[in-house]
Amino acid sequence: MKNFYFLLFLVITYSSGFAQDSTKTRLFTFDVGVGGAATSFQDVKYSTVHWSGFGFTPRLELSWRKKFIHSFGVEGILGSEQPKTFDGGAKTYWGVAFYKFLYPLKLDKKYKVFVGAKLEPIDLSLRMIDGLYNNGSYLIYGTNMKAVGMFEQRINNEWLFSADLGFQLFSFMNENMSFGYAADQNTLEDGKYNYNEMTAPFSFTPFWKFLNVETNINFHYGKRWVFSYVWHMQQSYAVKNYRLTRGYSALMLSYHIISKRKTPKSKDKK
Amino acid sequence: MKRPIYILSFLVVLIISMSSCEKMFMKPNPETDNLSIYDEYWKLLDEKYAMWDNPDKKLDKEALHSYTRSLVNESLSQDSLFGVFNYIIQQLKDGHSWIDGGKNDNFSSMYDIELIGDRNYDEDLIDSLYLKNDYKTLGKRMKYKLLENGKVGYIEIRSWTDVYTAEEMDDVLNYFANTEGLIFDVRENGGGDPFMSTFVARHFADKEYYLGEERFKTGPGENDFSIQKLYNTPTSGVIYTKPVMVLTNRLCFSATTTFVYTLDPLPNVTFIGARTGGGSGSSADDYLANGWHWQMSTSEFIDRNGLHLDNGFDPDIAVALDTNDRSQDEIIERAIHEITGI
Repeated sequence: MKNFYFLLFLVITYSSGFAQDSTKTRLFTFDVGVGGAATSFQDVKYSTVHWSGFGFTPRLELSWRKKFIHSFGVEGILGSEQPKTFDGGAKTYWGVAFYKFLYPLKLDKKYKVFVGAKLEPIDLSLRMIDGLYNNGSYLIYGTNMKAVGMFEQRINNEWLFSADLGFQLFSFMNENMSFGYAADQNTLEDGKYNYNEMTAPFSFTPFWKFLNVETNINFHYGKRWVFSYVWHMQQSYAVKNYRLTRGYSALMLSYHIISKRKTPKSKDKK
Repeated sequence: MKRPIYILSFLVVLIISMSSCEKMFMKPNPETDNLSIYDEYWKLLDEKYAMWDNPDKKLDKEALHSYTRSLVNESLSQDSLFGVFNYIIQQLKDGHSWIDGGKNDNFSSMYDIELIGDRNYDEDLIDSLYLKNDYKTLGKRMKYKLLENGKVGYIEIRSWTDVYTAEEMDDVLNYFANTEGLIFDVRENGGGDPFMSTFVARHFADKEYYLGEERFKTGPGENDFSIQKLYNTPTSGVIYTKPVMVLTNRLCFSATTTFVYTLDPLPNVTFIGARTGGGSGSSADDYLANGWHWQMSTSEFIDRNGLHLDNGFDPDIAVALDTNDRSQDEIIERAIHEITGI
């Protein structure tokens, strides 16, 4: 985990070296994306068996670019996983709603560099394991804030390349599976579990207990199409050395249902 | 035109290299040979089982480990390996701790809580002599009616798997508003949702009171327990404070133990029948690397008097069912007597 935060430091340091520029171009897009993802899961609290599988990945994103980039969106995975060492199965559902803000550090004709933040007010995943009782349902939910850096380069008139990288800054994240029971670890450790009422829905997970990384590599073709590779990984722990790790690699195809570009040429000539 | 091809090649290489990159952060898959499976199960027991120190069980963890591990080698058949696991399960004497073959139905090992004591329950007797096909229901599991010309209310719940709303429970208790007392028959109730059994129990308390503590295993160390001080808080709905007779037998287990220990401190509640089955702890379950499905107690309840309830709870009035006498259910009759004096 330390390596990732060191890498984050390098990205921010490197990005900060670019001088700021400005643009007059306005771009508004609304994307619909679909794809397939290879997913992985391991919860060392209970077993070191790897679970892996495939899922369908829908995505909607509304983006507005002028000087800054603002985007709102939802994305998710509907899938199933199987354990590596025996015959079993689990259904997985993962959904994230997000708002992303990017600030331009460098706006060159050949490439652009942005840094910013991504707020995920809803990061919800449900995992239902066949045949289990109390431990049959994992529910992990929270609100995350990530630092994001984005690089963009035009390849030719038709193709545009972009890549972004996001790292967890902090999170209000909660997992319903503690070391020994299907209840939040913090609630148990605080002695607040009782049968008169359900446990508190959120508890703070500091960043050093929660690694959350994502990368997006995109090829934009013409005005409408985007081919993407997405990698997303989360690793957290309620009890040290008993980490829960999950992630996915997805290939996606997105289509700009709306793509409006406006460049005020008259002002540029002044 | 060459540049997009380079970029595309770069992307393909990147995808292949980063695909399932998260697995670099995972521990390796476990082995599935006999010793590895045994060690995996023992590690779970060692770290998660909450009742090694229960004085009623008299467990010697090190001796049990030493003996059972010595029995395991790679020449053991799956049946024989399961026999070793079954030996461990029987030593734990805990109905919440068991193991089965998962999708392989040939294996199943559970401590039989019925081994101790008679059943003290006859459903046909209750149906023919008391319910007589003339009763009300709530959900699938609750039957209730008035007995003894309306002096006695009778409720039976055989499982805590239904969900009752506050309004529904209020309606049931309002139906018994003019009774002199209530019989709550939870014999054969093997458990379900402890939140639901507690929800029902909250209708018999008019003030908050202390129940005891539940010790949850929250880490791998021997002393990694967290203590939950449990209280019963009265419901905001209808509260029944007249005499309540709770009927118990050996198959009262798990969430019914929660129901029993929640009502136990109340002065108007009397327990009649036979010792309960226990199952005082909460449990976790998962699969071993070979697909065997385990469950074990990962917490333990100790009541306000320091009693461990995992081996059951003795009633205030011990009454046995006479299986040769088909004219009455002695346990219900004793409860009626306690309420009406007749």
